[in-house]
Amino acid sequence: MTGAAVAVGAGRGAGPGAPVGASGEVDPGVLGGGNLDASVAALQRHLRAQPRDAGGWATLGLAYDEQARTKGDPARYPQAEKALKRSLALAPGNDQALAGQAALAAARHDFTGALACADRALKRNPYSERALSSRIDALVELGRYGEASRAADTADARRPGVPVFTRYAYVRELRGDVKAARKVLTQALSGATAPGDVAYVTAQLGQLAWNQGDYKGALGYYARALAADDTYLPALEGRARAQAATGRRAEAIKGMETVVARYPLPAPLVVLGELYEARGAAGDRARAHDQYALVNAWIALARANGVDADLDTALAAADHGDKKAALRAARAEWSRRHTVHTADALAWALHVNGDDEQALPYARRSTATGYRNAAFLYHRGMIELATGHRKDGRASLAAALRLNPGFSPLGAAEARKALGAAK
Amino acid sequence: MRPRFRLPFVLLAVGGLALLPAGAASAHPLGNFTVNRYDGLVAAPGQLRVDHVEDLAEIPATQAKPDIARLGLGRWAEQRCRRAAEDSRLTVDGRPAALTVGSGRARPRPGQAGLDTLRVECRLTARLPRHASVAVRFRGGGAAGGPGWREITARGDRMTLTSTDVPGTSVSHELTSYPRDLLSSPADTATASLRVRPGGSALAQERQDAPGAAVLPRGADRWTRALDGLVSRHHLTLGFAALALLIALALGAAHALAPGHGKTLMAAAAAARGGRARLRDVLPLAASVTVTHTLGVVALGLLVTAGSAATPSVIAWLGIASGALVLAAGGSLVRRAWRHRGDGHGGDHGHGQHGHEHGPHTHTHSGVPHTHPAAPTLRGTILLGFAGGLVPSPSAVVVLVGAAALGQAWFGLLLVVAYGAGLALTLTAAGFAVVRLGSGLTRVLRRRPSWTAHPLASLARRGVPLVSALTVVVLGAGLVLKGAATALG
Repeated sequence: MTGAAVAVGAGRGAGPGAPVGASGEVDPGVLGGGNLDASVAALQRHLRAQPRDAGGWATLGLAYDEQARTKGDPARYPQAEKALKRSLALAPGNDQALAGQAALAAARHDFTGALACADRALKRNPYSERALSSRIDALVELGRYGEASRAADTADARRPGVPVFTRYAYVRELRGDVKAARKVLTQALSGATAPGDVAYVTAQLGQLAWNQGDYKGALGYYARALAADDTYLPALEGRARAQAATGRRAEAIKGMETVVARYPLPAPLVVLGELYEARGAAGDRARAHDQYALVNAWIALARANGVDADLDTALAAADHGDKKAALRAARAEWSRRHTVHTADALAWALHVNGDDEQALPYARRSTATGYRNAAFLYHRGMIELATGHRKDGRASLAAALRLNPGFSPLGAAEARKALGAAK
Repeated sequence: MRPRFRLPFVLLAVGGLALLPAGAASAHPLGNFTVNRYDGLVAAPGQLRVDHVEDLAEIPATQAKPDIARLGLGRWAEQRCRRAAEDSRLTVDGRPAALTVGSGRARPRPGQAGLDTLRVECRLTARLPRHASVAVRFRGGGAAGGPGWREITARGDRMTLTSTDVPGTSVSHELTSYPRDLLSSPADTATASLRVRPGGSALAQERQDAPGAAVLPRGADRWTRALDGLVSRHHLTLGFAALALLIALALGAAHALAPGHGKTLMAAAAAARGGRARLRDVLPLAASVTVTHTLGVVALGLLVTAGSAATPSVIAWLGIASGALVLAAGGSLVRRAWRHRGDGHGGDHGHGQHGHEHGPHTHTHSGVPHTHPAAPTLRGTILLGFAGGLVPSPSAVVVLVGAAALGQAWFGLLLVVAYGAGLALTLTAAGFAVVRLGSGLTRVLRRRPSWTAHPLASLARRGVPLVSALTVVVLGAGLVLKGAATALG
């Protein structure tokens, strides 16, 4: 009875008079360049007329995934999943849908699933660019850096292109090989033509420069990214951080306010809150407090959805929110995967909850691969000082401040204070 | 013993299996940090009305809290509407026109994790030249904002739209229900251009309701919302789960106390079987009510979640079916009572006087040996319980759908079962009370044999089963008529 009622109800919903447009094939390659929304609309029209086109469904699933990523709208993920499932039902084991599933799983942080799907897709089609990229992503996020490096070499040999190059560069950066990363990204930039790709690659270059403390270079790259796409969130956020680091605080705050008004995610919230606190004008403490309150709201929402808060939220909460929830989330992430990022988050969460002895091995692990990240070094230095390793702690803090003194307005001040106290 | 209880168990297991674990679904349909915008343009003679609606999800609503605390909800809403009016761009025949804010209000609504969402409704107006065709171009405010639904519709009120590039009706019913069709994308219309000319039909003042709204109580009652809030706010620890189940039981019991939940039915059915009805006979009734009610709630919950437009009519037809079953049960009761009316036993076998034992026994009346079955048929009991629990209670559906939306569908199912058990408890108590009353009355009558001898007493004794059976028939007929009125009206 339920099934019949649902069918009846759905039948009543679909109205007559829906425009019957000319339905043409939509090439998956179209998704990369040009107007993503128009491609999605065209695909939807096509699939209404030809609902048994498995390739079309797979492309639609990939398109929804892209839209979710570029618009930051997580509501597309369930739609993408359904479209990919439909594609696999129509053509079991087709590699396009499997690669799409891998990308979707990676976007939802199910990296073991993403790896499995990517491997299945590569068995069918060893040259699938999306499957190769997803495989690298999954291995990096699972902390298997050696395998990720080998996967990046394989992908580079089979399908060199912007997606593979950016991941290759990231794998090199995680090993501490900044020069190679920069070379590869510059090579990717020379081959990028679509505005989305240009924005993406230049933002990556900006992030790389920022991590090494080259603020002028970072600002240049971010400006190029915003010239290609003026609403590109990572570029807006990166530009604001670089402006704050070079003393242009008012512009930085204005930029971050725009970002937070549109995308009130945990990381930008913390950046804005810290900028307010550093400015210290009248009412800034309350404003900063408002931003941090939203971090706790994110934690509550995650809990209501039956999941632990993710890594970004855990780091934000460790400094400015619910410390216990931060530790819980960090432990959950660590139990799922052992990467330098999860090690750093767990170390810091343990530190703010007073457990420095346990935090030390994780902090050491986070910097063990050679990844040059000032925040990681700062965390490690504070933990080493708290556990009595004064010489190591001073070395770590000094290294952090030498590498990227603007990594966090409040964190840098804390580092200097601790350094002075430990002399 | 075993065959009798296997059937309900199987039914419960099947019902449980049918409820697959729900994926992580957020309460706000398009994500927790979206601001959805809708502009409903209405071209009236001399005036262009814009019904501007903004739907703020949990995070933007929390972001707005400091400002609301500072200004108060009303003034904040007006300020928001003023900003929307300033952000929008309206050109009439190529010349920019100003939008003035007529009224603005904001309503908080409960969302996920104990946070509120906000719904802002503004009425903006602009002047249009009378008695002439005009070209209107409208660009909604907040076009460069973050992710979210952007929808514009246009209609004419005593004016006709000769050309328009936006639809007339809102796909999202003015941001109250978002379509989840696989081949649909969130609306992203930033501009609208229309041509209007004077003359046309007036606009009917109808507010489109979402399909589920007719079924579910608008603003479910306080207790259901409290339960929903409890479920959403807390980690599901064992102690808390036990507490919530107790609350659900109490809610169900309290719910059945309200009129129209079959207590009269149960009481009448118990009385129709005569004073021999015992607790053991009422229990299968209670179990049947619980199981039927739970299954009904689950089925209805599935329908509501699937967004089926058939939901209101399903409820009505369920009411008719329930009434028909009650009618049938009542008919059989009447037939049995009529057949035994002349026996003179009337259901009251005075033990001392006749020396009969409990249990089925044969005796002769007018030379024909026959047997009174001492216990009512199990099939009849279960059927009556089925009829009683057939119409699912909307508040239980709300709890189930709410729990499923929070990703705790299994817990929601347990709550619904507890709710149904509470219902059954009250109904059992009603039947039990009647039973006890009947046997109490029997004891009183036995102590005063003079009363028993009174002709009125024997008439009552003979008539009570018949009258109660007729009551059941009348109730059944009433249910059928009520359901028919809703379904066909």
